[in-house]
This record gives sequence, C-alpha cells and structure tokens, in this order.
Amino acid sequence: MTETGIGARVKRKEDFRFLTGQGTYTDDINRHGQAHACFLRSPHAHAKLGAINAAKAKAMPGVLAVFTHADLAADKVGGVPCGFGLTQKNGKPQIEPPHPALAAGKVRYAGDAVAMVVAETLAQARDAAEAIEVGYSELPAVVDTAGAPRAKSAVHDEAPNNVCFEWEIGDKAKTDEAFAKAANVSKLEFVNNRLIPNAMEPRAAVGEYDRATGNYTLYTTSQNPHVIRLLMGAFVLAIPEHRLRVVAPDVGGGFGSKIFHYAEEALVTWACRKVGRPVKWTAERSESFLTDAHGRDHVTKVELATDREGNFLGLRVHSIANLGAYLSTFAPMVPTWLYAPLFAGQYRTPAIHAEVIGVFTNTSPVDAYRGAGRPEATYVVERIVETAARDLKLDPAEIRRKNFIAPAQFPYTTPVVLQYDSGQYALAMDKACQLIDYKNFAKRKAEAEKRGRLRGIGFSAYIEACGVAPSAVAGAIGARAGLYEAGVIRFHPTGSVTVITGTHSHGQGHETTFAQLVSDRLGVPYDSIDVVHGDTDRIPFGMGTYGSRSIAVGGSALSKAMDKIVDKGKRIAAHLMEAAVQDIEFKNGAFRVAGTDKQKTIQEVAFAAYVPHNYPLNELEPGLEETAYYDPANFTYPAGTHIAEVEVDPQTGQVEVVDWAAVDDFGNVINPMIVEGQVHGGIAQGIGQALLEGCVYDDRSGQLVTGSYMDYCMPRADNLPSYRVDMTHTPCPHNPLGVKGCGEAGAIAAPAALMNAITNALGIKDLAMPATPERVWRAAQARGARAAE
Amino acid sequence: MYNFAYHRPGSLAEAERKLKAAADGRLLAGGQTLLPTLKQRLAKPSDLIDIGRLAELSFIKADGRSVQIGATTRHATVAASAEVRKAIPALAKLAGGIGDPQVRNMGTIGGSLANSDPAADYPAAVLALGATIHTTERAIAADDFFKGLFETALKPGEIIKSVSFPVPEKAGYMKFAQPASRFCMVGVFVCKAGSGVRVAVTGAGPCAFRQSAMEKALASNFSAAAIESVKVSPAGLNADIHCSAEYRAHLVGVMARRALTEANG
Amino acid sequence: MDLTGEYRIPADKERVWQALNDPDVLKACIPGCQSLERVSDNELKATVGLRIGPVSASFTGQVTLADLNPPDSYTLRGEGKGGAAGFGRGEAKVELSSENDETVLRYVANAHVGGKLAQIGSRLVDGAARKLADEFFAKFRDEVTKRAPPPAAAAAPAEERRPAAQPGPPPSADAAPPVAPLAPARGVPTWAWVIGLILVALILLLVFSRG
Repeated sequence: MTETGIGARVKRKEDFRFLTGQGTYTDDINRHGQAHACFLRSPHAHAKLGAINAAKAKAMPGVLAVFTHADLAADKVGGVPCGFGLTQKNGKPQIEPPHPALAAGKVRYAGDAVAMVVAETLAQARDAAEAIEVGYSELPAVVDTAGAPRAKSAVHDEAPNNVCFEWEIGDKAKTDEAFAKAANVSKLEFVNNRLIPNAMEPRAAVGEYDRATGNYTLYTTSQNPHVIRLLMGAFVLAIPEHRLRVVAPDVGGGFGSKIFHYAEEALVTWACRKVGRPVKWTAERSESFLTDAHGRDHVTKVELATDREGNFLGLRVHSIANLGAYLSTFAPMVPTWLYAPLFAGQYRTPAIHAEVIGVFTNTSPVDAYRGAGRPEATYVVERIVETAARDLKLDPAEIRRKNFIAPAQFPYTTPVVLQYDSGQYALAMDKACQLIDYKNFAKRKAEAEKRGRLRGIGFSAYIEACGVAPSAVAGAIGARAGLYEAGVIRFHPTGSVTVITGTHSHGQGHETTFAQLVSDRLGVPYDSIDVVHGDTDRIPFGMGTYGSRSIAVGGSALSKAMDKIVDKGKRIAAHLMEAAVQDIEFKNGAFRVAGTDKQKTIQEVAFAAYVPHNYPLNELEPGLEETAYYDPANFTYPAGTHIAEVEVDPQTGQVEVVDWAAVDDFGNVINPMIVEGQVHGGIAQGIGQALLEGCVYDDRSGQLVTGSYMDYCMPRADNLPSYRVDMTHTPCPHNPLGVKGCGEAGAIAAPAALMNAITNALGIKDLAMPATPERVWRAAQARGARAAE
Repeated sequence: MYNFAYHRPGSLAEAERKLKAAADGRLLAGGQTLLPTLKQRLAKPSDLIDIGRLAELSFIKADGRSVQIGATTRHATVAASAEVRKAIPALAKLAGGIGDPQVRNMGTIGGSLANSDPAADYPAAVLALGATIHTTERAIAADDFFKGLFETALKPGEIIKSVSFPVPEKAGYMKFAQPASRFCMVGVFVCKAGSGVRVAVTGAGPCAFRQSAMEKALASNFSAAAIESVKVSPAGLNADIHCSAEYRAHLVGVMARRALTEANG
Repeated sequence: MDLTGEYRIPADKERVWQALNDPDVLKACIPGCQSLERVSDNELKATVGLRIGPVSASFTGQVTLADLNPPDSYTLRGEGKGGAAGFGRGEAKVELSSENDETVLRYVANAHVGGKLAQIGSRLVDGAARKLADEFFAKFRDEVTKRAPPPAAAAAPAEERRPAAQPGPPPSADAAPPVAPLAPARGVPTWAWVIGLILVALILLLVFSRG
C-alpha cells in the first residue's frame, strides 16, 4: 500500500474548496442576463383549482412572465414522468396518474406549484407571486397512510380508493404452513416514520438557451445528470439529448432527494427560451421542506414464526406505504423491490411472504431516502427478531447467531428472490460484541441504575442489497432504465490523467477515492489525477450515484477501462522495447520486459501514444484513452452488526446514546477514512430517524406542521456518541474490485439497533419512532406504574 | 424580505429619534428573531434602526451587589464574562445555553427581553433574580415587565438600555430544551436572596411566570426535597406537537428540583 | 385544532345578543380591526391588522353565520387570508345561556391554519388562539358593561377559561387556530368571524424568535 493507493487514509481532495467556501454550487452559477423564477405554491393540501388571475402580477415592475398550466399545455410540455413501472399482484400495472409540472385542475399537496413567475430580480418575482389571485375550493385532504384506502376523498380520479398498487412477494402457502406448525409467533405493528431529507444545499436550477445553436443547458442539483437529461428531454420538453446539456456541479448533499426529476428544473429549462433569458430558481428552505421528496412512511404488521429453540420458520409482513400526491421518479420501487426482498435479513428463514399496498395521499411525494426501502426492511426484521428473542427469553445475540446463514452456504438464494453472494455474519457479530464489551453489559446497567438511569442495549444485524443494479434484473422488475455505469481513463501526453465517471459525488469524496483507485492501479501519482463527474457534455453516459453503487458499479467501470489502458500500453511498450507483447508485464506504473531490466513508464508510453514518432501506427491508433461500461452481475450485499447502548433518564424521558459499535462488511475498501465517514454519517441519520426526526402533517388539514427547523429535529453532534467502528472484509466475488459499497449502511442499521436498545432499557415491547422525550417519559411512567403493582 | 429603510444611528438618542419618526419602525439588535421573520415576509416594517453596534449599550458592570448588563450585550459575551460567572454563575450558564453558537454570537439580552418569546431563556433569569429593566424612559421591575405572549410593558418608542441583576445568595437554572429548536420546552430559574426565594418558569406559559407554590415551599428550606410534594397543574400550560401540557407540568417539577440541586451544589 | 371557551358577561342575553350584532361594538373589540362590513344578512367582511412580536400582517376575513337560533345559538364559519402568510379557517358553535343575571357564552371551535402559518408557527398556534379569544372577550365584556349599566347585583365578572383540550402525547399534528366567536341576531349577524381572523393573523406573526 502506498500513501495514496488503495487502503490509504488519504484526506479528501475536495475538502479544500468546500471548507474554504470555494465550491461551485448551482446557486453560485450566474449566467449573463439571468432572470429569476419563483413558484406560487398551493397553501392547501387538496383543492379544486379555479381561475388564476395573474393580470396584476404581470404588470408589476420587472416581471417578465407568469406561467400556469395553461401555458405548458399550449406548448405541449409533458408531465413529470415516473421511472419505474410496477406490476401489481393481479398482473395489472400500477396506477400512474399524470403529474403535471404546474397544477392542472387540482392541487394535491400543500406546496404543489400553481404558477411560475419570472422577473428581473428574485424580490420582484416574489412580489408578483403574492399578487396572483387563485381561486381554490378546498377538498377533504387524505393524510393518514393506513387510512388512505378508506378515505372519503380521492387524490386522483384514476385511483378512487387511493391505492396505487397492491403487490406481493414470496410463497404465501408455504409461509402459512410454517406458521401453522410454529411453537411461537412474535408480532409487532408499527409505523416507519416519515422523514424529510434536508440536504444542506437546497435544490436549485439554472436554465439557459442558446439561440445560435438551439442548445439548452441546465445546471441543477442532481445526483444523476444523465438521468435528468433522459427524463426531462424525452418526456417533458421533447429536447433531443444532443441539444441538451445537464450539469450537476458541486452538490451539497442529496441522500436520495436529488435523484429525482423535479418539475422546477424542467420549468426553468422551458422558461428560459420563452423569456429569452437564462432563468434561475433556488429553493428556500421552507420550500425544501414542502417539496423535496420525503422518505419512509410505512405502516407495518410483522409476524415471525419460530420453533421453541428460536429457529426461524416463517416471516409474514404487511405494509402500507405512503407514496404522496404524485409518483416521484422511483417511488413505486422503494417500498416494494428495494424493501421486501431484504426480509430474509442475514437469516435462513425458509418461508417469507410479504404484501405491500402503495397509497396516494395529499402530502409531498415520497421516494428514495438514504437506504431507500432497506432501512424499513431492516427495521422490520431486526425489531421482530429482537421481539422473538424477548418472547422466547433468548439472548438477542444468540438467537441471531442460531439463524445466520453460514459462510459455507454462499451463494445463498433467499425465499424472496435475492441471491446473496458472500458474507461472514457471525464474525461481524462477534467483533461487535467485543467492541462494545457485551459480556459486561449487566455491570454497566447496574451501575447506571445507581445513577437513576435505565441502560439498554440493542442489536441490528442488517443486510442490504446495493451496487444497483444488474440491468436485466432491473428491467424485469419494472425499472425504465439500465443501471450500468460508464467510465473513461484519459491519459494526457505528459502523463497526467483525467478520470471521467458517470457517478456523481455530492459529499461522498469520489474525487479522492477514484483517484486513489487509478493511482494504485496505474502507478500514476495521485496528484496527477483529476476526476470529472456531473456534466453530460464531458461524460459519455452515467446513471449517477445512489444505492451505494458508485464504487461497486462506477469503480468497476473504471477498472475495466484501466484493463484496456494496460492492454494497449503493453502493445505500445512492446513496440518501444522491441519485445513480444506477451512478454510485457505491467507493475508499479511501468511496463517491463519479463526477466529483464528493460522498462518504460506508463508516462513514457502515454507520451509515445500522443507523439507517435516511434509507434506501431499500422496496428494501433494513437492516443491513450479508454472507455468502459460495466453492468453488474448481481447486487452487492454489505452486511454487519451494529450495537447501540443507551441510557434513559426516566424522570424526563431524555435518551442519551452512550455507545455504539458498528462492524460492517463492505468487501475491499479503498479509503478507510472516507468509508468510516460514510458509516458515521449514516448512523447519524439513523439515530435521527429513531430519536429525533418525524415529519408531521396535520391529520385533518394536510398542512405540514414540521416545516422548519423549529419543529423538525435534525441530529446534531451532541446527540451522537463517539462510534466504535470496525470492519470485516469479505470481498464481493462478482466485481473486479471486490467492493460492496458503504453509503447507506449506517442509516439502514441504526434505527433498529437504537429502538431495540431503548425498548430494552424501558423493558417494553415497542415504542414509536421518533422516541421523543415525551413518548419515552410516558413509557417510563407506565413501566414505573407496572413495577409498583 | 420587503424593502425597508435601514438606519445605523451613532447614539441611543439618535436611535430614539429615528424610531419615533418612523412610520412603522423596528429596532434591530441581534436580529435573531426579526431577520428570519423578515425573510419569511411576515413583517413589513418601514424602517429598521440598527442599535446592534451602539457601544453605549454593550457593557457588563459588576459592583458586588449587582450586575448590570447593557441591552445589546451578546449572549456569548455574557456567557464568557468573568464578572457574571463570578457573581451569578447561573446567569452565565443560561446565556451559554441559548440556541447555538451562531445565535449566541448575535443575539442580545435586550432583544430577547423585548421580544418576550414564550420559550426564551432570559426571562426566567430576569424574573427569578428580580432584575430591573432600565429603558430610555424608566426603570421597570421584572415582575411588571412580562405581560403575555410576545407582550411586555414596553411602550412604543421605548428602548431597553440595560438590565441590572441583584447578586443572589444562591441561584440555579435548568432547562429542558425542545429537541428541534433548542428553545425551552421548560426552563426553571431558582434564586435565593436576601429578599426571599423566587422561582421563575419559562417555556410553559404565554410568557415567563413565577411559581408561587414552590416559592412558598422553599422559603424555609431551599432544597429539592422541599418541593417534592408541590404539584404543578397542567391547566393553562402550553401544548404543542413536542410536548403536552401534562408533560410540561411534570418537567417544571423536575427542572426546578435539578435547578435547586445545582444552586446548592 | 380544537378549542373550547366559556365567558361570563354581566348582562342579560338580549343585551349580549344586541352587542354581538353591533358593528361598532365588534370593531372596538377586535384587536387591530381596520374595517368591518356586512356583505349580506349572514355574511361579514373585515380587515384586521395585527402585530405580534416580530410579525405583522394584514388579514382579510369573511365570516358566514349558519344554524341561527337567536338569541341562543348559532354556528359560524370563518376564513381569513393573510396573503403570503397563509390562511386560517374554522368553524365555531356558540351558545348563550342565562345564569344568575349573567350571560354565559360557550364556544366549541375547530380550525386550521394553512400556508406559512401552519408550516412554521405550529408551536404558537394554541397560545395565540387563546390570547386572541381572551382579548376579544375581555374587551367585549367591557364594551357591554360600559354601554349598558350592569344588572343590579352585578357580581364581579368571574371569568373562566378552559384551555383547549389536548391530552396525550405530541405525535399527532394539530395546528390551527380557533375560530371562536359568536353570533348573529335576528336579521343581522355580525362580529363573529373576528376571532377567526385574529387568530390567523396572530399565528402568522408568531412563528420565529430567538432573542
């Protein structure tokens, strides 16, 4: 290992510009003659849209245009498309109502855009938006997830009972049979609480049209600019791809919420041509709360059947998933294919059946949020496993060990479709128990009791399927795109390298990790390598970053491109050294003739390729640049065990997370510091979900009442413990780097670990997330009352 | 924001004149409430009179019997002040626990009091310590100052100049922060001084108020044990999505006991 | 949000009823009332300018009266619009009854706010609603007693208010101001919507704050 190669804790290249305020985010981009847009949004959750009178607004100073749905219709602007088509259990497609870019006929959530104002300045646009008169006639709002199918009101005429789909997976008969013979059935019913993503940078977009060429450019806060180009160009604006450039510059966090194609980015692209000026829009934080796609929001019943010894026999799950008012880009996939196939967890459960009902409500659209389906699945599995341990009076670590899939059983096909490729689950569990000193927990609990604190411990042995995704599988289940990745290695004549990737970094540190990977493999100094991402004009193609896919899929594409570089380099080196190609070895950045001390560095080879004075021109093209596309053979399956320890103050209900052990298996690791950072951040988000964050809509009016940081609680440093982080390394057997991906693991593992710990501390079966002080206090009161009896 | 005229007067007297001359003028001190309100377009003042940099309003003076703090003294300054830490450590602690570092570096004691947010920290200290609020027109006793939700005894055009806190024998402050905003869900300030025992609660009602049942119980025995049996009624207490009135009532008791333990510690 | 309230007014029911239908009385009682206009027998329109803490906003409101049963009860539905700040809407059932020479006014209201008010002001909605209702009725009582001498044995006007019933833990989202008030008289209803408006305005205002 070199100081900058694979396995080195290299400090991030990008941090200098980020930490000194020199990043270039979308809102930092100002185009000549730029105008500003603002959106008038519905204050109602559900209302018929009457007349929109914009006459006064249009006459106000600086106003260039006011657009409504009528203008879009006149221009044949399409609706916002969904990128996933789910097949229901009855074989019919999901119900997919139109999603107009500006509300047509009805508004369906508080925040639904009704009109777009473009003006010389932002203040003028806002003034004008206030002057638009809109006639609303309010309709009853559908808010409650579980109650949506029975609601008296329909969000969409196309779905009279608000059901978008009913879907199932697994073998129902076999599962019923398993339950029939079970000695014990453990049950839980709970809500997986709705979350609001809150990336540090709000969404923003700048659209620009070049009349000379007919080309459009969109700068936007996206995790996947090519996907936006595809969806927006093809489905919304009918702009062919060669005339549309989408740039996602520095992006300040996404967590999934910037995967999706949003109406605003299409509208600035459309409007910039209408007004003949570049148009910029940047969301206010209040707008982000209302209109960024939210996450989670399931109502679930789960049952686990076991024998007397705690061997799992069958698992049954029923979930209702809130999709919000419209289908966001990947909405139908998240609570189905990204969720239920994970119900085997790390266990040999032989029979599993799950049913999911997706419902429309008058709330912001719901889509993928860090972990996307897998945190929900892990919560289901790890909460019910913990419950079974308690029901059977078994040690929570033991019941898990007893049911783990053993290393010798891989590849292992679960009853819910997936084929796990590799894993050492007991090893991670053992390490985590050591890290947190599990055997002495009772002592710590007793000591805490003396201080008036209730100490609890909770496990979460999670698994996820990421590195998305094999395109054939994705297509078979309904994805309307492939999920491969592209990469380019471009040597320059003097030996520096530009690495081009279709993945996108919005906090993950790809510019560092990918440079390390290339430096290690090609022997080029780390500082001579730059990574380009986020611009459809500079990158051949790309599906972007989400689903912990960047290193597993994007890194693998680069690996393949490097193979091609080495192959070509050998042929050039063979020519230069007058040796046979098969005698050339490549190592440490140099091509050597085997068994001799003759060598040419890769820089010399690159120079020869670009200045081909002595070059096999009749066999080889000049230049040293290779492109590769990589489509994975399978998902990757990071897994591990997290253990949380908490102390509860029963007088106030305050929960303190006092310790945390995380042992994850991400396969091979390029930069352990960055990986640990991803784990830290993921756990913070998971702790946020379990302890602090809860999106609340008023259940009658459908108003978002946690619409600011006054009421929506993001995790802060003082909410978090110092983590004990370790890893096991079981290389992924089916990608060239043996990597699995690490971006979501923490957020997937953490909520279950924490809620298991809190319920353990309180000696109760279940508690709703987030475990707010009042909820915990009430549970502690009830416990005290029971103890007194 | 809507447009407004911005003034930065060079003296308090000039600020007073500007405020009185403005059609709908507002004072700007630390701006931690006003500016977010303006950004949300929830207010449309004609004029902002920025007194945040008036040197004559930013000071801390201690003479052994009292601590006087200028109106535009920042929370961070109070928290770090050696005089305050020595004379009334509970007050320094309170200032150090307001909001977050950004808020503490901008927010001012006068701004907080004039705003009288129901969940602000300072009102508890002012009320429990029996402070006096000095304005451009008069001196107002703490007991007469807080009138209701965002309502004080201040008249239009009246500007807070300073607050003087008598140095107590013992004092303690304990707050249970609302997790998201870190405002007080409940904050209780307890104080024992020559003049008697005072207990003030913030976060639980429309404005800070004194808890007389506890004061009575503590008069002869200033300890947590003395108020074990004091029941706090939830009737009339604030309720919101974070905290019911019943839970708030319970927290008043817990925070009061902990504040007493701290005061005695 | 649900809100209930009860006020004792030292005047007989007819007098209270009359006062409730006297635009001058109402205008005087509604904090910040700039204009008050009867649109039809059962409809009123008003403009109210409110300033609470850092917030100030102007609301236009409309109240419709229904289920009129003078002088005993009625229902009012009100809506106030505060422009960029949002809106408030609600319904209140008001009952008047006589007790010992006094009139007891009881209301049960449910209301919600929308827009920015709801999004950022939820913590203050209940408190603001209470404050407005109290302010209105305190003034109203003063006005009624000022305009007509109180009945002979006017006991001290004991006022009693019950805060909104809201037991239980926080999770469910209840954010809305109450619309409170009263009602109409035969023929010409008035004043009622007031409270609704006020509430709305208040809420808007409150919202932020860090001193």
